[in-house]
Amino acid sequence: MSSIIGVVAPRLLGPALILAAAIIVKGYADVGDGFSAGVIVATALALRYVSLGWELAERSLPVLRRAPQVATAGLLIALATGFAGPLVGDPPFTHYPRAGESVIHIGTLELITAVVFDLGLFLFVTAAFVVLIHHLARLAQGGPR
Amino acid sequence: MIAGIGAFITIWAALSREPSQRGDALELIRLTPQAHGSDVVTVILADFRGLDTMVEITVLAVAVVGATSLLRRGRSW
Repeated sequence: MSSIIGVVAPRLLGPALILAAAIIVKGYADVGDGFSAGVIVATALALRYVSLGWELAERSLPVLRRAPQVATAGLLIALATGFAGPLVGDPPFTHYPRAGESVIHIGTLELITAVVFDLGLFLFVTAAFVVLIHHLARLAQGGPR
Repeated sequence: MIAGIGAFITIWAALSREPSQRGDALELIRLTPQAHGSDVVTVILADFRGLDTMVEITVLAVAVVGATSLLRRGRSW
């Protein structure tokens, strides 16, 4: 393996997380959404798996072991925000607050249900890719358990 | 040679025709500010066609479950 990957991979996760947060926050005003943010973080994590091996990668970042639960939570968040509408008699994927109503702003981030849907999407995409990488790495690199 | 020229003329004619009816694109762009957003692609993905995106990630979930059950005999981790 290239020594450049060995140096870069462990340090790439921080910038990748910042970039993903920026993409989600500005997503509604500019190009980008939860899916692309999730792919960016998953790529940084995949590079860690490649350079450190799955055991060290997961020991140094134990939250990775919660990936199946995180994926399930993300899917449930996306489902819940999407299908809250039919529960109160609106079409699925109606966004609240409605068009024209005032929105709570945090900087450029607007608190609407579509952003929550995006967050669920981000969690699911990241965690699903981590689960896949974990299984592929364990097949390729072997090890205990 | 003749086939090439024929294809060229056909494509040229098709591309230089004025589209008779407009698609949904302009309507979607017009509605984007009402969805509290200004980037039309993101608004379409997360809002106008949210159901599409939802089913998309469901496909991803099924693919991951399928791959893991093939790779490690159904162990989730």
